[in-house]
Amino acid sequence: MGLARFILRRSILMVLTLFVLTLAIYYTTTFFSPTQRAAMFISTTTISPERVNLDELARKLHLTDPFYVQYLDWLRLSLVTGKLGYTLNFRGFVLDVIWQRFPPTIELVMFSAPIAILGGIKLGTYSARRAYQKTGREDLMDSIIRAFTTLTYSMPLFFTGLLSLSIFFLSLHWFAPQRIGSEVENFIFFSGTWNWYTGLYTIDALLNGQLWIFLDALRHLVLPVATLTISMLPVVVKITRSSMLAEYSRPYVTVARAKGLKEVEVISRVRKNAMTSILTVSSILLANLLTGIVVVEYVFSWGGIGSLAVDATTWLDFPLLAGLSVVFCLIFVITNLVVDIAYTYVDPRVKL
Amino acid sequence: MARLRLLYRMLRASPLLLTGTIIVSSFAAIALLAPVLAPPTSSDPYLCPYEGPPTTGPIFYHPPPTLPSSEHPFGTLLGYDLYYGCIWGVRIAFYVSILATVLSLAVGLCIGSVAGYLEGIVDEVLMRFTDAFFALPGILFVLLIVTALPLRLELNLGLFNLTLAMSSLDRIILGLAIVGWPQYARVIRGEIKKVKQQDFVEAAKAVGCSRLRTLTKHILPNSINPVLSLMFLNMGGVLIAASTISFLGFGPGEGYAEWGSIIAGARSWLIFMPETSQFVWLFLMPGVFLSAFVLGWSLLGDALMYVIDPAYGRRLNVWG
Repeated sequence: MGLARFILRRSILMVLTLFVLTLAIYYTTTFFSPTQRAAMFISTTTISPERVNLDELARKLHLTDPFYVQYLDWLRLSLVTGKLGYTLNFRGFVLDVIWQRFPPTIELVMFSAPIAILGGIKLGTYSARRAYQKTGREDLMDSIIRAFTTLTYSMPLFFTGLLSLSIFFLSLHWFAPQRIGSEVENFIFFSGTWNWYTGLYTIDALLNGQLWIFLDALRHLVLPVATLTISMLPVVVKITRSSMLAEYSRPYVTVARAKGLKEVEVISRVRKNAMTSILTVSSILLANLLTGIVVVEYVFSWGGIGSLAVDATTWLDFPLLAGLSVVFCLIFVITNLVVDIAYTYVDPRVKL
Repeated sequence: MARLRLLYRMLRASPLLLTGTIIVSSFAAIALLAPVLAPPTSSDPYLCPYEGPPTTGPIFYHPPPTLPSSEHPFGTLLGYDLYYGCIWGVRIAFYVSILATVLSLAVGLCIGSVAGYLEGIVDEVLMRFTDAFFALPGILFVLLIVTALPLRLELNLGLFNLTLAMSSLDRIILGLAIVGWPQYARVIRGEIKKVKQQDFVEAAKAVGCSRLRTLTKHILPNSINPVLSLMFLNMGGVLIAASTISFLGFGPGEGYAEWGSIIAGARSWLIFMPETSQFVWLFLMPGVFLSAFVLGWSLLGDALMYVIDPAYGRRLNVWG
C-alpha cells in the first residue's frame, strides 16, 4: 500500500471514528433530564435556585430538544465555524477555550516527555548491559533499577503526586503547586510591562528578560513534571531493557565483538535494533500521558486541558466534552499514524 | 501437574514472584477475614464507622482528621475510621479489578473470536469498530460514562422491562469494561487466525462439527492462553484506573471503604488546610494498600503468564 493511500484510509477511518464518538457523547445526554443540565448553569452565590424557572431555562438553552437535534446543532456549528461548537460555561467557542488552556499542558509535556523517553532509554540500556555482563548472577544496579520501575509502575499517579506534594511542599516548602506564585501573578497582570509570546511562563519569562519569573515558574514546574515523568518512565525502561536483552543474544553482536569493536559501538548497534520495540509501546505511552495529564493537573491545580476535561464532565458541558474528545482523539490517531510511518523507516522490513 | 511443578520451581528461583504471590494471597486473606479484622457496625459493611457530631440538624460540620491512635490505628478522616476503610477496601479492590477485567475479557472474546473466525467483511467491520474504541480518549470516556449512567438503568426489551440498580462502583466497572475490551479482541483474533490454519481444525470440520462447535470446542481452548495471561497482567492496572476515577471525584464518595475516595477526601483536606502537613497519614495508608495490591498483581501476573503459556510468556514478558 502506498503512503498516500495509507494516510487516506486512516483519515477516512478517523473521520468515521470522530463522528461515532461525538454522536455517542451526545447520546448520553438522554440520561440526564433537561432541568438537571440547566441547573448546572446556576451558581448559588448569585441567584437563589428557587427563583429560577428551570424548565424555562432548559427550553431557552435548547436542552429539551431530542439528542440528535442537539447533536446536529453542534455539528452544524462546528462545521460552519470550525470551532467545535459553543460552550455556555465559558461563553466562547470550544476550540478557543481549549486553545487558551493548551500552553500549561504543553509546558508540562515539553519538560516531562523528553526526560522520560531519553532517561528511560538510558536507564534501560544501562540495566540491560549490567544484566547481560553478569549472566547467571543478579546484578545489584540492575536489580535496583528493576525494583524501582516495578514499584513506580504499581503506584497510582495521584498517590505519587500527593506524596511528593505533601513532602516537598507542605513539609519542606521547596516547591509549590499551581503555575506561578502570587507575586509573579501580580507582576504579570498589573505591572503592564509583561508581553505574552507563547503562553508558556518559562519561555515568556526568558523572552521578557525576567530571570526571577523564570526561576519561579521552574520552581512550580518541578513537582508536576517529576510526577508525569514517573508515569511514563517505567514503561520505557522495561521495554528498552527487555528488547536490548533479546538483541544481545543475536549473532551479529558476537560478530561485532569478534571484529574487536568497542563496547560503546556494540551498544549503539544493539540499541538501534531495539528501538523498534520502543516505537511499539508509543501508543501505551501516549495513553499514559493523557491520563497522567488529567491526574497531575487535578492534583497540582494546574489549569491545562486535563483539568478542563474534569470540569467539563462535572459541569455536563456537552459541546466542550465533544470538542475535547475530538482533540484528544485526533492527537492519539495522528501520533499513531506518524509512529506507523516512522516504523517503516526504522525497520524497512515492515510494510504499511 | 507439570505446570504446578513449574510454578513451584519458579517461586523458588525468583524472589520477586514469591513476593507477588505472598502479597496477593495475604490480600485475599484480609478480604476473607475482613469481618473479623474490622467488625462492621452498620448495616452496610462498606460504609466506615462514623464518629463525629450527629449528622442531623441545620448545619453540621465534619470533625477534623485525627492522627493514628490506639483506638484508630490509621487515624480518622472526616470522622470516618481509616483502618476500617483500608481493610474493607480490599474487598472492593478485588471486586472492581476482577469484575472489570472479566467483563472486558468477555466482550473482547466474543468480538475478537467472531472476527478472527469468520474473516472477510465481518472481520473488517468488527476490527474497524475495535480500532475506533481503541482510539477513544480512555479516561475522558470513562468519566463521561460514570456521570452519564443513571443509578437505575431501565431497559425496555419489548417483552419485559429490565431494571438494573447500579452503584457508582458498578458504573466505574462498566465504564472500564467498555474502554478495556479492544486489546483482548485484538489478541484473541490474532491467535484464532493462527490456530484455525492447523490440521485439527480441518479434522473437526471434516467430522461434521458445526461452526459454533468448531469455534468453541476446538479453536478457542487452543487460543485462549495469551488472553488469559494478558488478563492477569492487567488486573492491577484496572484497579489503578478505577481508583483514579474515584479520586477525581466520580466515585462512591466520602465515608465509603474505597481507597480512591478516601485519598480524594484526604486531598481536599490537604489542599484547603495547607498548614496540616502532619496529616500525610490520611492518604499514606490507603495509598500503600493500593500500591501493594497493584504491585502484588503485576508480580504475580508475570508468574502466571509463564505458567499458563510458557511460549507466549517468553514473548510477552517485558520484565525479563
